Amino acid sequence: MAWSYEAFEDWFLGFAYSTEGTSLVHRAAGRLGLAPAIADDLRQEWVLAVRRTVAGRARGSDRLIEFVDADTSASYVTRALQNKAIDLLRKDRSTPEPIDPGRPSMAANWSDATPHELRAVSPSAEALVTERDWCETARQQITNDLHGNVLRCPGCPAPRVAQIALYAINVWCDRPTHESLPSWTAEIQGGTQELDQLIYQALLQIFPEQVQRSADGRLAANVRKMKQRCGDCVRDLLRDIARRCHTLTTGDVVSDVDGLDHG
Amino acid sequence: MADTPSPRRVEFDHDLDTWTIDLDPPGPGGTATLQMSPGLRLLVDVAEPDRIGAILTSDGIGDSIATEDRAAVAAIFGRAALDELPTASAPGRSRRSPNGPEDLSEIRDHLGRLAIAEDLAIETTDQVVGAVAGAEAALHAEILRDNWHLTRDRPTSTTAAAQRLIALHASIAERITPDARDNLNRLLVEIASFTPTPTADQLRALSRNSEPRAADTKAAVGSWRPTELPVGRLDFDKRTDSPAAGQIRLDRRLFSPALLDPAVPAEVTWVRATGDLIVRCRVTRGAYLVALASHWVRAYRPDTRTVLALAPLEPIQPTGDEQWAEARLHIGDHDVISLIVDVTDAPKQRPPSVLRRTIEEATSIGSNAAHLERLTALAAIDAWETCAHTWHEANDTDRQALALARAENLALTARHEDQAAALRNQYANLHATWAATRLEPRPPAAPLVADLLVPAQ
Repeated sequence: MAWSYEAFEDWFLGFAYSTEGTSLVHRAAGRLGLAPAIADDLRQEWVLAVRRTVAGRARGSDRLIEFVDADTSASYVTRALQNKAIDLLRKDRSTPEPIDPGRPSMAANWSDATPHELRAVSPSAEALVTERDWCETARQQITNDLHGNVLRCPGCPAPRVAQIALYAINVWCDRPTHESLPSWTAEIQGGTQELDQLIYQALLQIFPEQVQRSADGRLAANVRKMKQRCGDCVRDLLRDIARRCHTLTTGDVVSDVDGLDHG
Repeated sequence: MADTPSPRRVEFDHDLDTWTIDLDPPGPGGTATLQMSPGLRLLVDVAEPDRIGAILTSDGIGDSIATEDRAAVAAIFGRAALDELPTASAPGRSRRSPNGPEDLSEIRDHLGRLAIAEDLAIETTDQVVGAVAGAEAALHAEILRDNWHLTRDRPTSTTAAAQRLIALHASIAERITPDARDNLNRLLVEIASFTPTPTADQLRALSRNSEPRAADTKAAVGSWRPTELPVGRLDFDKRTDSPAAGQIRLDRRLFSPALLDPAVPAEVTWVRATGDLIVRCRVTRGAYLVALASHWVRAYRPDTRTVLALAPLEPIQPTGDEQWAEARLHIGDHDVISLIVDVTDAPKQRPPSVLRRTIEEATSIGSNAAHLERLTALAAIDAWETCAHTWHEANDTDRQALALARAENLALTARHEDQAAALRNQYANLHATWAATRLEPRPPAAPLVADLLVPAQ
């Protein structure tokens, strides 16, 4: 019986990051005289190539692929690994394959916190966490989530969520200390807190073509809907990022989400 | 010429479940490959095309090697190499003839040149150079098809490859001027007339004799030269808050050439007042613009690969005959000193590491150095030195030493004894492992016809 795409992917990702998979990656690189330090890159390109190829096949065959068990699949992915190792020492080749559109995402699982809220809750963080450190840690966390394939949004692709979140972080980190946001953000209904205003500014800058106004100059209903939909998503992500940044920089685990909300 | 085949190294890798024959690590110019069949892949050292290795995988029936692949192994590596491999079937073994000397040089020479020409045909962004390289690859494939005489089991994959490449050759007529086409055809006919195969000296003589016509061809169809910009790197001058370069070369592996023109660098504008980085890429003629939405521009730190900003590419108003796409990345005005900008259709994938990019760069420089070496020794010396420096940055002492040894060899050829001594001093103290026995370089390979179209530097 053939495997589904999902069954193969579950098996493959487990295999690629297992001890056995790691050993294989090192072996494939070493055989071509490449240093062990390249192993992470090789594994990443291997995983991407296999997932792209198999996803492409799955789309054309009702999501079933010919691999019948782990042994058959191992033979295929091992060959793919060797090819990717050889490609490391080939001059530029452009042979992209169709990108995997991804599977339906799971519901988001994000909690709460922002830099200012965090400081309000934990005054000690003020001394430990400089604004710049926080910004860089937050960007790194978003990067990790994006590349770790854990960014989920029911309405947008993950890169779009990352784009908006990074935009908001960059705006926040770039502004002079204590300076308030541009006055025009005040007109955005529902954006009563700094975090909301940041997100809305990001949305309006990223999707300027969607900013329509009524005769009296108010933002159109569709814009408000977009703000609500994307805003909720990005707000939750940023709060989760802030909570993790706090843990990473102070060592304290933030578990009192409600406390952060009202801190 | 007949030679007595040296013993071949046939090994089985239990971890990777493959057989290998003479598989040496590729040198500083990287490798060109030939997928002879699903189970047989040849690796050709770009700087030393007679250094050929093979990776064999089973045909899925037990542990056997396909009969066709065994035939190819016999033709390329000698019949003795078959003794180490598992048999596909009794008839396969019975066909082997263990007696008599074997002349492997002819087939290996054609294979090496086929691999390099085919790689050049695929990798170049210049359609004419690509077509010429494809034609030369077709020529070698055709010769291989006719002279695959060491076995009665002619590999059908070679025939298929020949047909594919011959079709590519046919497309030349649509791309170059009649004069240039005549010149190319004349060169190909002359090369094909050598029996059994052109030597390096013969090809060099042919190259020299053809120089004026090659120049005409170049003038008629435009020139191609190796790209010089580092991939994606953008350095900011903090005094002016401006990027040092207004253009960046994009990593061709990350995007579809059907959508973006890989030959044209991306144009970058830094708008300090808004903190925006505007990246423009030229769209491939005839591209389906809606598909651009799958391509993202991202800016990230070279060391940590932390993404600072990303945005999808969107088509903008055409300018004349050209169509461009643009992305606006807000990176603010914070502590950005250096970053990498790329375009990718897989934004959820981590960008390549600095080491990965350095290896790419070193391989690319080495490949270009090998091209220059096929044309003229002097120009290649500097290229190999640059290549060695880049391999040093990649902490690869073996390939650094090999590149320096090649430069030294060329300096000796050009009678630059002082320069040669200096180069030898550079690699004499390097701790090479697998490369230690390969530091006496083989003579430069004969030039490809496509090499003639690339201006010597």
